[in-house]
Amino acid sequence: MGEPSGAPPRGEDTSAPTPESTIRIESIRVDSDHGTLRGCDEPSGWRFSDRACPEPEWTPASRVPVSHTLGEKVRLELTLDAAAAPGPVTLTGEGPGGIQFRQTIPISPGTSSITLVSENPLARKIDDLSFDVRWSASESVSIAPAVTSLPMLVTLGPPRSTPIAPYKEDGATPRRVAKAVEWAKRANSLDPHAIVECFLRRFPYYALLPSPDVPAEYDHPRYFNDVGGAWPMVDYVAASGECQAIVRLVRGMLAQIGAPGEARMLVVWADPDQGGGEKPLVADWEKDPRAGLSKTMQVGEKRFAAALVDGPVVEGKTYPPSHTRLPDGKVSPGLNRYEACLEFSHGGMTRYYCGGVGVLSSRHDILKVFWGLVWVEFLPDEGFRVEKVVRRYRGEAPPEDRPQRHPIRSFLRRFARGLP
Amino acid sequence: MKWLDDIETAQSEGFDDLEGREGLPGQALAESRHWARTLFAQGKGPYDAARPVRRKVHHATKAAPDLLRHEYDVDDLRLSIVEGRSFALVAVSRESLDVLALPEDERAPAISRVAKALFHPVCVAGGVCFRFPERIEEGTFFSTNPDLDPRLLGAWQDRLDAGIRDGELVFLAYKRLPWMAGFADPFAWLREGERIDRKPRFRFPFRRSGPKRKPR
Repeated sequence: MGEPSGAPPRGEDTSAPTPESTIRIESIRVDSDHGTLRGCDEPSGWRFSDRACPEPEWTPASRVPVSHTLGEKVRLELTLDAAAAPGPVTLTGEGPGGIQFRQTIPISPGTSSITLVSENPLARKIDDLSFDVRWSASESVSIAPAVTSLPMLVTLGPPRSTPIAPYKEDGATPRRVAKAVEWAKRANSLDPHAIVECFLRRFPYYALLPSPDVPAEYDHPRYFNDVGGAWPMVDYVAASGECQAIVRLVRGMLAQIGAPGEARMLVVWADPDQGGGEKPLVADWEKDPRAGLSKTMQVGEKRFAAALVDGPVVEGKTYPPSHTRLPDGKVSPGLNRYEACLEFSHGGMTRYYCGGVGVLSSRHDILKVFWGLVWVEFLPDEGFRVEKVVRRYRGEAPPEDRPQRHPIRSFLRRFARGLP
Repeated sequence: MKWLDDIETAQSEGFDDLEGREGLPGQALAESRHWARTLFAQGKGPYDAARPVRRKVHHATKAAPDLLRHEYDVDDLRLSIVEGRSFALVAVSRESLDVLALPEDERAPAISRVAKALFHPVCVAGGVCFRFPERIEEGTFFSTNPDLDPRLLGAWQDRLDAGIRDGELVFLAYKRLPWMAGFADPFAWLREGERIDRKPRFRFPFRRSGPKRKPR
């Protein structure tokens, strides 16, 4: 049924009876939503607000976003103002994705409230819907407006209304839920592990130093701020953030979409005096932010420090300070105290995401991000001399250990010898 | 005290006035601002001081590393902060606070008061975390935690050094990156495009979380 006024569209049957009466939708409240969204009055920032979003969600003058669990039926409470003769009317609403409301209701002139439950549930899919419902009625009754529209964020479960994180990244606001839904949709899965993996693909590296591209008020790469904590990172994805900031963001996003699972920031290192450096030592960074390798050894006049080195080194050789850009454009080996990783556990499965190294399934694998564990002597120019290689975690030998082969010359030599 | 020698060498080579931000690479400026927020109490750092700050720069030579100098007044103290890639040396001018002119038993409390006012509060909890020697005089140096190696600190707050040098009260804070052992190249800080976090990474074969595809 079309709008109740105006000339009938050309080509339609003009002999059809015109609506005799109108039912006006005064408001719609989504009863089956989570009711946990806060801060609808602060739509432009990432900050959390304690103010609950207003109800009803739809009026002719306002549309307030709602969050709703996927795979569940939608229950609406409509306030109607009828200027119609008393009697039963069948009210029908057609929503997105085949959602349908249909109920015969007794109508009498004046204001009344009715509850409608959708005949079928929302799809089992994380989504941001424009919940547009096209309304119609039986007999010669028209509904005004014919279409109502609400932003609906479809999530795995209820977003968190009361934040527990220090920077309140887990508190739900429409903007945060919308962003979390936008990112989680890309996973094409409801498995929290797949969702976290999808989030982490956006941050292939952890940032270790502040970026000039991120406004100072956000405190990149730590994101210790009172303007949304780690949330502004979603606007500066290329600049990434510290591992702990990404953990906070991931936790915040999971809380927005009601996803289960636990995310932690681990630091992993090894100690020359514990299992010869083979055993991974692990600490929860939030409980022990100073954890890591801090071992020294005095031998006569010399003081050595243990370190995890990220590139091949040779005993007795001297190296420039960590990660110095060399004349050939390469970067010198660097000394580390630990590797920081995001640990995500759910459903009896734990995965580790360490910056730039992919997804790992065991803590022991994390040590393999390093080439080895070494004792070094620091030099006055901040360079270092390798005293001893305690353990190698990767098979790759230092360049000096193996003869350098030119691939084309090597091929030609083998070709000349008649080898394949 | 190699860094003090470096600063003296740079001093003799000369610092250039820095007008605006043009003379500094964006990365170095972002790091300098980051450490100012990290080390100094609100309103006491070189980027949020209420009064004007004069900045000078020394670009690395063979003899002395990259250094940035901030000179400003805060709380009636005239400060000169010389910042390298891995440290910040804060000198309080003798005209604004002459520690050695104070009676001996008032010197340590005065130093603690200044430290508490200037630095982020967690560094000097209670204002008594310096392990002061019996006498504080010219050339005396002390620390909050002299046993910890500055190159292996888990956080900058774990060690703050101080002392009296040429009659001036000086503080030395280490700009520690907790993941790193040792310090970065002090001669490459103000080099355009320099970033020590672009480190080579060994990449594991990527594993998907979803079900594995069955072999045909």
